[in-house]
Amino acid sequence: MDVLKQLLTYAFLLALVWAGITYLPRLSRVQLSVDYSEINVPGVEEYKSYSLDRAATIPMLRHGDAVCYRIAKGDDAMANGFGYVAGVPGDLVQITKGKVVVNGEVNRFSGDTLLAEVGPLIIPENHVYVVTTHHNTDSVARGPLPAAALRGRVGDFP
Amino acid sequence: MRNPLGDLNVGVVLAAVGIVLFLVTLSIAWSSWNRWTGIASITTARARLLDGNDAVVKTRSTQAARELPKEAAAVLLDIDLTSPADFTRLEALERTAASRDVPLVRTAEALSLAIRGKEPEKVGGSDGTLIAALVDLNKGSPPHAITLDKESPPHHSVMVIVYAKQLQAALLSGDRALIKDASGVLALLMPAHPEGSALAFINAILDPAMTTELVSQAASRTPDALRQRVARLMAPIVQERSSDLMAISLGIPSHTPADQLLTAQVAAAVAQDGPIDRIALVRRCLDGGRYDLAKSLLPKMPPERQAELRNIIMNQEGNLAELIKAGATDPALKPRLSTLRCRPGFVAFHISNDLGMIPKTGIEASINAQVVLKTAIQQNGSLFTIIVPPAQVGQATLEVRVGDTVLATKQVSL
Repeated sequence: MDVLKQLLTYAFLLALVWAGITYLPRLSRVQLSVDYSEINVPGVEEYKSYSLDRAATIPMLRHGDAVCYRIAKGDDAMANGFGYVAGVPGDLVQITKGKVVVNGEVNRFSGDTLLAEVGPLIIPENHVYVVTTHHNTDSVARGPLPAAALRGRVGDFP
Repeated sequence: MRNPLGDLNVGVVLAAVGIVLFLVTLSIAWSSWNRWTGIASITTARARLLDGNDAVVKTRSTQAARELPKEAAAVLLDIDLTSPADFTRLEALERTAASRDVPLVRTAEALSLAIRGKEPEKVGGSDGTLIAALVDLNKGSPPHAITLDKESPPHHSVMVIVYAKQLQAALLSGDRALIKDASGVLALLMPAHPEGSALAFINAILDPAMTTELVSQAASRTPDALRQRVARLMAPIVQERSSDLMAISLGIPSHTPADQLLTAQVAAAVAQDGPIDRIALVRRCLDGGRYDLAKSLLPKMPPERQAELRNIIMNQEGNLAELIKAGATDPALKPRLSTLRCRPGFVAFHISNDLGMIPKTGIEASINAQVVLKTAIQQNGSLFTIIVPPAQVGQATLEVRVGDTVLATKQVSL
């Protein structure tokens, strides 16, 4: 009887470990829903969840990294936005002929804009320039995002 | 042999250690609680900064600064850079902050001093360049281009404060390149700011590739008062768009046909009060030959300029009669009569003023007090010829008048 109890205890502990390994990473995932219209990239599925690296800070971000950021919706509500890192601190960003140009090169993740020719702007310390296809909530619409606005790096984005 | 006193001593020591450990635990728990709530307040304040909820930002940043008085991240959020009292807090923070945060605190100190018109200590990197530019601008120096170091990017707040001041100074100086630079940086830095639409409007005006329609669209997204202020400021700076900007500043609908634009603008300028550049409008009326429109603007002109502008309008119009009647004191405006050229049955002369203006409303003449028929006077530019009736040929007195004013009375041989 004691042996059975011991086996059950071990089985329970093993199940806990397995559940931890299986489900804990899933807690750190984000789902593309509200602001899906911002992203127009083949292969990105709405309602699919993507892994989120919350530990990724601005110095760890590179051009082209997909990130999830907070969007203020008013009344203290926050939504998730998704975009690609176009500029990190020290980069020169400008808008030329409706294109987002970073360090002299047209950014391939950004959609066109009707804005006048402006810049260059040097991306400030502890900020990141995030672009999307439609510019409703990204840095073209809201300016460089501070670290506080970043939720993390999205791992398996196309 | 047991020593009961020894056991008691051990008990007392253990109790003392227990109490000490309890107090240490309590202290750690209390500081942890404070730190946790302080960090929660910082996080909330930063999150609320994103949606511009200033009331919550203020409350939570004050709370964070109270709970974490030695943390730069907490105190800097709560600092008013224009306040001398808060500068004292910055000096205290510099002494207690972690060494990695000290440069940031010093930058904040320098910025605070620069904003208040004082000479700050030198700060390195792009922040230092920006703060030095702010100090110069506060001294009244003309704005100059700011070149930043990519290797040490500036802080967001420093950029916003300095470029806002730079834009103000550039608008006053009328330097297009500097206006474009500063408004471009601010537009990229904070496009969602309540005045961000005005920055987009300025950038559209300055971009030669933007069509009038796109400029109008940018204007329509700007609040009324701000739109009119920007249009008024930019009209004299961007001459090629001054007509469109004048229309925008007067609230003329963008779909107004081009041939009715000037009339609509003058009507609006007459109907409205306030600082409108009516002189520029008068100039455009004169350029377009619309003297009637220019005259209708006169009552809205500053009294000290009305006489001068009236003379200019009448001079352009060639209405020398009215010009003389108005008592023009400028000798350059006064019409002059050239030497008379006479031959039997014919007299010719030129009339113009020193500016080369000629009477376009005609002249009157009489020979021996008899009025010459209008049909007998011919004008070709500044040249006037009078066909003298046969009955008056011979020695005669010729009088030339412009309106009621006699320009010349001469004895001639016709």
